Amino acid sequence: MTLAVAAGAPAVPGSAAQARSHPTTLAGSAAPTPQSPDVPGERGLVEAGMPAAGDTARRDGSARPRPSTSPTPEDVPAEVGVRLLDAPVNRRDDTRAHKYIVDHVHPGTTIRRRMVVKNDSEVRRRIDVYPASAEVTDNGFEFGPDRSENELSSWIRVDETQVVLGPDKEATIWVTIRVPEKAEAGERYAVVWAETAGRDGQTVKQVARAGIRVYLSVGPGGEPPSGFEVDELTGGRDAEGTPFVTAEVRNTGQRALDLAGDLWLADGPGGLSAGPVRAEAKTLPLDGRTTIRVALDRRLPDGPWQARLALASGWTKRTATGSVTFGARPAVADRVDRSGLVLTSSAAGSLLVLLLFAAYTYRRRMRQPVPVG
Amino acid sequence: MLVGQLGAVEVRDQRGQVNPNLWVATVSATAFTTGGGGAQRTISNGQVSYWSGPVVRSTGGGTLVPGQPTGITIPASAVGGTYTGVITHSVA
Repeated sequence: MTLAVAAGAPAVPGSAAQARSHPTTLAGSAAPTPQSPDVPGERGLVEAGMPAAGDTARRDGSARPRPSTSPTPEDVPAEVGVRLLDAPVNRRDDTRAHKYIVDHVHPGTTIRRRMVVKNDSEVRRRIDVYPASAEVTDNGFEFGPDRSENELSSWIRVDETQVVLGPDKEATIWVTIRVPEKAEAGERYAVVWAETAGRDGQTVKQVARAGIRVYLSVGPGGEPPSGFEVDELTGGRDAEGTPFVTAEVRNTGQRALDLAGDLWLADGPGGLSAGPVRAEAKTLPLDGRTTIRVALDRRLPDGPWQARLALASGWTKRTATGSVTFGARPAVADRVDRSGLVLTSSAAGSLLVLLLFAAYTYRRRMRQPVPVG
Repeated sequence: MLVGQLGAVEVRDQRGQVNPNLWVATVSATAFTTGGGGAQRTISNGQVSYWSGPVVRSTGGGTLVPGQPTGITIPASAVGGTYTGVITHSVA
């Protein structure tokens, strides 16, 4: 249940970036954890994540290859991982609250969460832990630069700002958010970062940081509603022949949304069905709208299909259905080639006919008797 | 222009398949300086270009944006020396 980043691994020829995710099933326990008695207003928590894997075994079961000689911090990439351990009891069913700190609190409340910071690299490293600003705009969830502060990050404290960890070792950090009595109502965003640096002392120092997002709503009474609308589903095929389904989504609630879900196709030609296919959108701000585009396998026939798109942001869920058709595959390249060939052939044919006609006329003239005067 | 590869950047999302399975990755750079810094000993981060190279390995799908290596445009007035800077990879 860790989100980790590694920067500065040996470059693969012709590339500078790679991304992968290990799909695993959520095995988060719902057992309540002991609460700290010294924090007023603290509420019950459930565990949000699994304990870490063993020291050398990776989550996918493979053991990390160990170098034969002891590596130095300059040789190995900066790697750090984070995961959230606690979610509020009243959000046990909100999967989003298991990955991010998501809550609604009254002014004057203090909440605490545990997060695990892991040194994923092969050498002992110092990891800095700190809160920093973030915002949700039309571009999605955006981090502030470096350690920039905003109102929410100024309310956040971590019990250890620096930990030194051996290879594959973890530390549990308490994150405390103390909301002032005079805080205005509204939703605020921040990130609690774990940061480590690699290749120190060389020309380019690489810093890797992985963070837990915070979406904190403040206000009197109950939590403001979350909601969204999905407009009509539309099908199409792009210039390369890849079919896609799009849906316009609008945030109609009073909290930011992280929408993801699945698309299914059914009742296609010959009774075919397809899916589920993953659908994702960037974080949607209040009153924000976006177009979710799901690319499909290009071998799918045109349809018509009955499409069903199920989207969720935590426990806020919507399903949209509709009939979609992808349209014919574009055959522009073939057509251009063929028409070009036909045009060239016709031009060559016309030229040949003209030449033959000219030769014929010339020979006839030469054969005609010339009158002698 | 100086161009160099920073090496692979790898994000491992092991948080499970339950929604939301999203992360945002960003890259930022400081200015590159040599000696004590100053106008002629600083290459501002506006002169540093970063392209995320092609995706070399991915599982689980998602939207992945390819690019090329990293480049730094050296101002004509820059003083000779070893310039150092910091490049930060963030994911949350």
